[in-house]
Amino acid sequence: MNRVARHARRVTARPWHVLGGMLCAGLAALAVLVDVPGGHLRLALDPAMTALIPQHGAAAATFARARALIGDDDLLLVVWHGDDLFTPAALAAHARLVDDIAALPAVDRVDGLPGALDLRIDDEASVVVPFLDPPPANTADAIALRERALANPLVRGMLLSSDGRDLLLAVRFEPGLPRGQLAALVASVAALSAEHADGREQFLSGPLHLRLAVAAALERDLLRLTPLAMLATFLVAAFAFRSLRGACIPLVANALTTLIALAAYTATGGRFDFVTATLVPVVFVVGFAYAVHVVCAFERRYAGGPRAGAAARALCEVWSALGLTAVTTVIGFAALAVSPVASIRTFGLSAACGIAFAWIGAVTLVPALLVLVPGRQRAPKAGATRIASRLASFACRHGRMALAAATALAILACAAATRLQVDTTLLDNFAAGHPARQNFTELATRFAGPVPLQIVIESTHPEGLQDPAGIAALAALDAWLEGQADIGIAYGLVDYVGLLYRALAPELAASEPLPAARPLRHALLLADPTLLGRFATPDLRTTVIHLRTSALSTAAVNALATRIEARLAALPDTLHGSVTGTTALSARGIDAISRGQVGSLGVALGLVAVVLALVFRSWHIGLIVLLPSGLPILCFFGLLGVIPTTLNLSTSLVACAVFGIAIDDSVHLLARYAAACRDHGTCEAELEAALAAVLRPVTITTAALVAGFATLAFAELRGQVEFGLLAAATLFIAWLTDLAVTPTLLLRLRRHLPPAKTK
Amino acid sequence: MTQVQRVRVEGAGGWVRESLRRVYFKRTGSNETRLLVVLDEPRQEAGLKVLVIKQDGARPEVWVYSPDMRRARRMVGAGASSSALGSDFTAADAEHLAAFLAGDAVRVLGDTTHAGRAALLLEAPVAATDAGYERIRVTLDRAWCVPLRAVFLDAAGAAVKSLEAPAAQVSAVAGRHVPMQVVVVDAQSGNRTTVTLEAVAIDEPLPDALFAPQSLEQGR
Repeated sequence: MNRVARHARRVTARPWHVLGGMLCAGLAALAVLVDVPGGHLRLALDPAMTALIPQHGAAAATFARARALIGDDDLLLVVWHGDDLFTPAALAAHARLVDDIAALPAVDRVDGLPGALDLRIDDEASVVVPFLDPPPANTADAIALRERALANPLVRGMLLSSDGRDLLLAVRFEPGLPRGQLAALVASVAALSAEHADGREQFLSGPLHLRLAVAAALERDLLRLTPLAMLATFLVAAFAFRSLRGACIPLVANALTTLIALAAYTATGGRFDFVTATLVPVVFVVGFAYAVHVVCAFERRYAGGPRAGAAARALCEVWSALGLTAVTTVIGFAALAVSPVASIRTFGLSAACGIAFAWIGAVTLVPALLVLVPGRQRAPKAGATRIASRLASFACRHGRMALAAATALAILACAAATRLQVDTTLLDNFAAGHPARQNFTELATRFAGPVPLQIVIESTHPEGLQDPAGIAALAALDAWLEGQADIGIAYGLVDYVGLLYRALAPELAASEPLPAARPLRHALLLADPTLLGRFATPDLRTTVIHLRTSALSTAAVNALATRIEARLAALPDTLHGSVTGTTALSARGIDAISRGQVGSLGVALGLVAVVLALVFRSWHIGLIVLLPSGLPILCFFGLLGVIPTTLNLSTSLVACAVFGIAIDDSVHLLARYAAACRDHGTCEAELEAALAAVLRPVTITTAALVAGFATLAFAELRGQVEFGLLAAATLFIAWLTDLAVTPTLLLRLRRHLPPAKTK
Repeated sequence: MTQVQRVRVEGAGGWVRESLRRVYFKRTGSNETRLLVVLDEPRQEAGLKVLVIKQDGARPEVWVYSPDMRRARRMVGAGASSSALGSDFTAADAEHLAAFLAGDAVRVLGDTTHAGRAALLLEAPVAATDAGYERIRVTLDRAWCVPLRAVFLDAAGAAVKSLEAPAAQVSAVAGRHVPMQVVVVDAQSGNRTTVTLEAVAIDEPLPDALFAPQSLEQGR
């Protein structure tokens, strides 16, 4: 008796032990996942984009320098709207709101009209004090203040809308706050704003607000749709198996192993962001297929009487194929560990881990449950055998036709894929009427641009920014930036120094807008160190230019960043600049992730090919088996080229999930075919035997998973809807490919299969 | 009082900035003091004069003269009153420290020794809410009545800035003990500012005209 048979015998002889052990592990997982006293799940959702930003390298270092200067750039924006904002009472209320928000814990800074610098110059003095220090005492002063604010380039369009009817506050929190605390702080800010606005129209928006809204919707979708998807999967499996045993075992076993994988992920500090949110469905999908294969093998083997023997034989039958598919899939996902993006690394390693749990469940818990759960003996499925026979006959006689059709489909898909667009717009996740989307759109129309970007400029030597030529170059860059249609406002050291220069030497500034060497140094010497520190490092070597842009999609942000970096290349040799900030880097990261899926899949396919080649001792097998897995993925990319959906953060993960299933189905067919080659004489008989064994589990799995993914059509976030529907469609294509193309390819591989071992 | 100060700022990144400035200080009334700073070095910054007129309980009035504009101008706000003229020890810091020494909210924490000298450990809150620190803790030499160390603490008790006057650098000038060197370290930036007195004169008669805004435009 070999080791597999011994294991099968052990598992099926002590099913209660196996079930008890797994239930204990499941209870431990529940203890990790559920905070019983608190009455909530311990799933950590991370709405920050930092996980999508490279943690090492030049871009990360530049970002760190920018953050050291300006703090966190993930802004919460508070907008007040009305015709009566410039009255003493309203302005005093606005100033009180700033004070109250600033007093909240973990609030780093609040920028708004109350603290913005108001420059007044007369013959006697230059007054540069905050606008609302003190708030105006009467209506005439308030109206005069409004006029000055509208004339101030650092205020108009940024803190005050150009028609003077909207006031904006930008709130920065300390970096790295957990989502729960951030959400509570945002709720406090909302309450304070409503209280001080005293009935005036007001709302919250900005990148942080939007991301929190996405995270909340993601959480709702996760909690609402995961059970729904499982129910859909269960119903399809129940219909296919027509037995409680067939329907429940894959669902229960897989739910338990997914639960354990989820607990392991949470216990090791894993958080769900826009990438890792798909971890649960991916692990569930692959694990479900493993379980269905074992159940189908059991049904074929069970002819009544004690179930233990049939369960052991079923496990022995699928052992090699299951092991091989698990190894290939784990390797495929583990390959993502080389990604420079933390979120992708986490996803790859956690998915690999989860699939290992699913495999353990399939080879231990599923056979144990098959022994424990009674059920009727099923008559052999004549229909499946008939279809398998027809498919084998088709592959033998019309194989070339199938291959030609597959080739034509691949060419079409490639052609369509050239029209694919890589772009993610967080805002588009919400329906048109959603408050988060409405507020953000309102903000974009009323102010110069709701999305912050930064440019870090570094001089080659300390105090390089005191050089008038450098300041002139920065001023020219400033003017160029403000001339760009998608940049609402650009401000930085030049503006602050210019303000000081005008205050210090107004007559000189009138004739020479840019200071010469000495006035420039004097202006810098007179600067408030705290204010100057928001624009430049103390050694005057590095400065940050703040931008607000109306570019909302990652493609638009990346195009703008590319344009800016081309302009930065024209700076004098002593100055070097680069675009940075959470938005810029996450846009770059998101599009790189989306594009990188192709590369990651390539790596995964390559590794799988190597494993198969080693197992079957043939490179031909390794390479050719990949073709039926690659075709549905090609079709997916082609589909993206013709439908009005982009390759975005959500849709880019479809390929990964489908690859896991498609490669498994192909490997199952190959393993069964290789086994059948030893038992049958004609090519059609071998193929028919392999198809007869695999057709049913593959079809049940596909149908159940298509139904499961289709439930994501009810998701609140558009990205989830797209992910679900595209995954369902691609799985269906993968199933068609496995039936129509894979058998033909296998026939052509026969001479490469290793000979049967002589016992 | 007249001082010639050499100010050396050493940044955390290794950069160094040096300047030489003359500082004139006079009590011009029962509740009024005037401070004039004239920058002599480096050459590119020479000629800047800053006059601070401070009346008790009022915002300081700041006059600035730059040779390029050829006339003194009164500046209100924009950091003019808190400007550090290139160092991390701002005028506001000096004001808070002076208020500490003159104030009545000082709490004696106990006796201590500093650099082998008997000292008193004192602490007082800072009235200004925008100072960036909440308390100042001073180690005051008992015999000389000179602050040998001052630590500016935030709400959590962490040092925001610290000021150190090495006892070895304290000299007797006109019967008073004067720290000839002060080192200020800013915990946030990591910068270290060393102010060394190259010359000091106490009780030297200074004409009131020296502290008049109009006189900034005259002489060097």
